[in-house]
Amino acid sequence: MTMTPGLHKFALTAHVITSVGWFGAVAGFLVLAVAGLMHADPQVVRACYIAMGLTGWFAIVPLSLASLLTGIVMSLGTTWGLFRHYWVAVKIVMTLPAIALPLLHMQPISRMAGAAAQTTLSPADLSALRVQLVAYAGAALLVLLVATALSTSKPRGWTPYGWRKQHEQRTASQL
Amino acid sequence: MPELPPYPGTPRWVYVFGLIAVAVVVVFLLRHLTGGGMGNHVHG
Repeated sequence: MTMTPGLHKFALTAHVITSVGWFGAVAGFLVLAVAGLMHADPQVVRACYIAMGLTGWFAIVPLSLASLLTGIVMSLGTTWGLFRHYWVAVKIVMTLPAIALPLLHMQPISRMAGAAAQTTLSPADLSALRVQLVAYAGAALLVLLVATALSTSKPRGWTPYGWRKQHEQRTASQL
Repeated sequence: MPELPPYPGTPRWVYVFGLIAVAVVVVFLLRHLTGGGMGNHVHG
């Protein structure tokens, strides 16, 4: 079912806003994670991890889910479809783990924020977790960069399913 | 119904992405299976 032009513009705007917002939230999260790992001032470190907890729950998680939802609406409401073109399918395959992994790891992030709120963290405290937060945020940012590049370049390539559907629709329109 | 034209094949860039994805998943699983997870947390 193809969307009307007005609805298409609205859905596209919503998808762009949520996707770019998600990218920005992850970029901010990465900055905080690096500062939390590297900064010498314990007050700054504490503030960073508290802010990361808030950013994770109130920006990254809702924006990522909204981006996925609006993306699915855009796919299903246009001729691009969900699995007809490889660039759409690859984007979905890439972004699903980018959404699931932060959701699964929000507990350790919240634990980190809670620990920071209650005590002054020394550089050795939870060091492995602090390093991994930087690594995961960096990886998420890279995934979102690639997803954005796929959206703007839309590289060619029909999936076998899309190839069949396209031919069926052309045949049906000729009858 | 006219015969379906031959499928042009999967583009090379999809294979490249697939290889990269497999490599990332393998590295990720190895880190988690060797105890390199996030502070020894338990999922769920």
